Amino acid sequence: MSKILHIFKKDIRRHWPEILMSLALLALYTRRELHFWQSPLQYDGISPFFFFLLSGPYIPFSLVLSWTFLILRVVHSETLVGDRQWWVSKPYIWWQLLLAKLFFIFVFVSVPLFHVQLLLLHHPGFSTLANIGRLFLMQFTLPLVIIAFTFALASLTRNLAQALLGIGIVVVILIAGIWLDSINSHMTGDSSRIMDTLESLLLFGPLILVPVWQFARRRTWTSRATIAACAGMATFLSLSPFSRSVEQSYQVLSVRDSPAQLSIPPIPKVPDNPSGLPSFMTEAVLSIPLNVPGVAPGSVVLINGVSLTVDSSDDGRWTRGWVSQYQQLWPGSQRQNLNYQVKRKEYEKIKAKLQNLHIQLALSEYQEADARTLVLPATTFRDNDLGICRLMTRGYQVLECRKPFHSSAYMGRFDALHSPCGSVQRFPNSPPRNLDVAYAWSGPTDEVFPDPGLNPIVDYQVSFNPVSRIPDPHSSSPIEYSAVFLCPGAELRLARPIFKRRFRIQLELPAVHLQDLVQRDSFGGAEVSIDLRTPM
Amino acid sequence: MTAVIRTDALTKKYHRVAALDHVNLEVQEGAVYALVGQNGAGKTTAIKILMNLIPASQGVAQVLGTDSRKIRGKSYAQIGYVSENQEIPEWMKVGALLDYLRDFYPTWDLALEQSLIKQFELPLDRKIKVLSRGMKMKLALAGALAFHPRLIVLDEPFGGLDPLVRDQLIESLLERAAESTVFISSHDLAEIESFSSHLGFLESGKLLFSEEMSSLANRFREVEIATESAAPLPSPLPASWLQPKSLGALVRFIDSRFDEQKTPADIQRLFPNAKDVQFRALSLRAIFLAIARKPEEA
Repeated sequence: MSKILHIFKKDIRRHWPEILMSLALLALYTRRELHFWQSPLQYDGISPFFFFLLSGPYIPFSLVLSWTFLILRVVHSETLVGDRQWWVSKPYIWWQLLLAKLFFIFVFVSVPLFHVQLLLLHHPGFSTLANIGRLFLMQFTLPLVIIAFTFALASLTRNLAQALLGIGIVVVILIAGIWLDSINSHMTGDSSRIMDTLESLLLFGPLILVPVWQFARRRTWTSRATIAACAGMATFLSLSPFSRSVEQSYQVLSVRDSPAQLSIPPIPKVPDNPSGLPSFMTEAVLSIPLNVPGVAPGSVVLINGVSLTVDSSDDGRWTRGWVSQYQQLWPGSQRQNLNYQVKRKEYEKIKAKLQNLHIQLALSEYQEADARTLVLPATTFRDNDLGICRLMTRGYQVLECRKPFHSSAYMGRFDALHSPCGSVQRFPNSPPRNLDVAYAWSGPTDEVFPDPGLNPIVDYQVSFNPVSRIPDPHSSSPIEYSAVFLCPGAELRLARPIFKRRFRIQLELPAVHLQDLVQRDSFGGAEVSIDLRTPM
Repeated sequence: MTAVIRTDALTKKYHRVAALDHVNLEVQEGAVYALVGQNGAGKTTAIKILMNLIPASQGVAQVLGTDSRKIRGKSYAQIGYVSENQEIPEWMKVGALLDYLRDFYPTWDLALEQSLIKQFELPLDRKIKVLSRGMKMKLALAGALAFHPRLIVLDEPFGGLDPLVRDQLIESLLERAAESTVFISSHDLAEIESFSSHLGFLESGKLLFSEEMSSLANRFREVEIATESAAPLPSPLPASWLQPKSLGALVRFIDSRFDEQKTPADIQRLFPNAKDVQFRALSLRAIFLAIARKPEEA
């Protein structure tokens, strides 16, 4: 222990400027996090420069950067790479050196952060004692990732220049991974728990074990190769179709047995569009309307994915497979649009020919539990499930909430017609038949681990959105959109969503031209204009 | 006597180039062993393998009875290692570095430390980065000697130092030589000669010889033969005769296997008209140069 403290004290003497810098940034971060929710955009009385200094979004990033710098510097002061370092021929015991470095990081990164997190919990009035366990768990999320990654990087590089090169390589690999993931945009079903665990082990195992090995043996190239090989395998696994297929995860139901009786309305023929799609578009977006008579009260059905197979007698079949969607189906009749991208080349080839479309939808159903009514107070209020909330002053349909570690899962319903609040119509002269009910949704998450982050308080919004109704086929008015207002005294129905099932249904759209489905609105189609009035 | 350092077919290859090629070396306890050779001969590579700073490609080495691959941590508490290209923590002050080092060595001798500080005139309150190269070397040596190491390993310690500093370093080494084994690599043959007991010669990664200084001095002789008339050199000459030159009626060469009986007999046989033969002892530098020019016969 004395040797560990001996090295630790030497490191303090060496790195006090870096320590002070990181603590100063932590203080700025604390101030920003404490006050930003209270007065996010108020800088009365202070100059814009100081406002930026105290509340700038650069602070969390700079804080992480200062920790990275501190960790790199402290590990590099007894660098493990190379054979010319003075210390390598001195009687350092490797595990004492390792513990000294970890102790330094613990004292100057983890402990200050933990205390700040306690303060951030305590300040808005959340119990620190009740949340201390989760706060400990939280140290194993983002803080551990930052520390483990930087520590591994530091143990495998000789100096800051090499570390920057290492960061550059990691960034390039990440960008390549994101790019590969984006071109492989197919939706998959549940990934297997074993594969998930394997991926995590391959990513994080070496970040923990390789630095230990490097401290013990200083075999830099072996260590670097191990990390690269494990990261490569993890990337390969994540990009490989090892997860369960959508077909395995979502059981087939007939439309009749489905909780959402979906149907496709007749597709109106679009007159020939001489301009076609803009030339820069490499993909065409097909927009398939869906009529939903409504799901059962107290339920919500989510459209998670769609698969489209085009079938024609001339050109055979083609499909792009499953593509992710995120749409909510609520009680009451409504209109949804499924968007599905296809390669422009394919589209141009067959757009004018009659095709049969086989559409599969992957859906999941949730039911409400513990439903209750919440009458919105005029000021900030505390709710057992939602946390601390307030009506958003700059929005009309949003509650701003904050809660330790996770945002809440909720199903919300707001009947605008029977509320004391006003509403906004897009078309002031049309009857307000669509301005009735708005819904809010956030799905349940795995709540074992806190959300990754530095601040234990999660700020989130509960947004109430109206659904698009099926237009009256006999009306010449366009589809109407509306906004609802929340106001003090409004009654909200809130419930906890419980997962019920996943299922898959198939819909047919025979004899259709793809050009009648293609989305043009954003590129020269009907323009959207919004006419907002002040709420009543 | 026991061997403090022993290598067996020690080889280090960088890609296809052998920096060390099957080196067999033995350094006895109490010896002052000088490893000499030209630049790139493999001296620093050998020392780094012995200190477990780099791995060998083949072969094994033992240092203080331990496989060199296992030398780490506490093993260094018995070894004082100083290298000319070591990166000393220059942000520290001289005194702080010695204070810091002290805790790592159970055998650290505070009185010896003070004596070395005095002898080397080390400025305790100055930062290392402002010290001269000679001062840095003295500091490194003070740190390597103050704990009474069983083995002192010095890699080119005298390079670029002025004669005064060199003398100070050698003096302090000689004072310690009684209690330690010294393994030193150097180009500075004049100084090596003055205090080494053994010498090994590396050439292109190969150890050409490794022997006691006295035996080496006895083995090499410069031979000058005066003949009655100028004549071409007879052929073949013994392989151990290096750099033979005929200067009219005078023949000169260096015998690398001088023997009081055999060498005069060979001369008599090859130069029957020799009227005068002189044998002169060689300096280490002269031996080094002779070997460097024709190593295989040495």
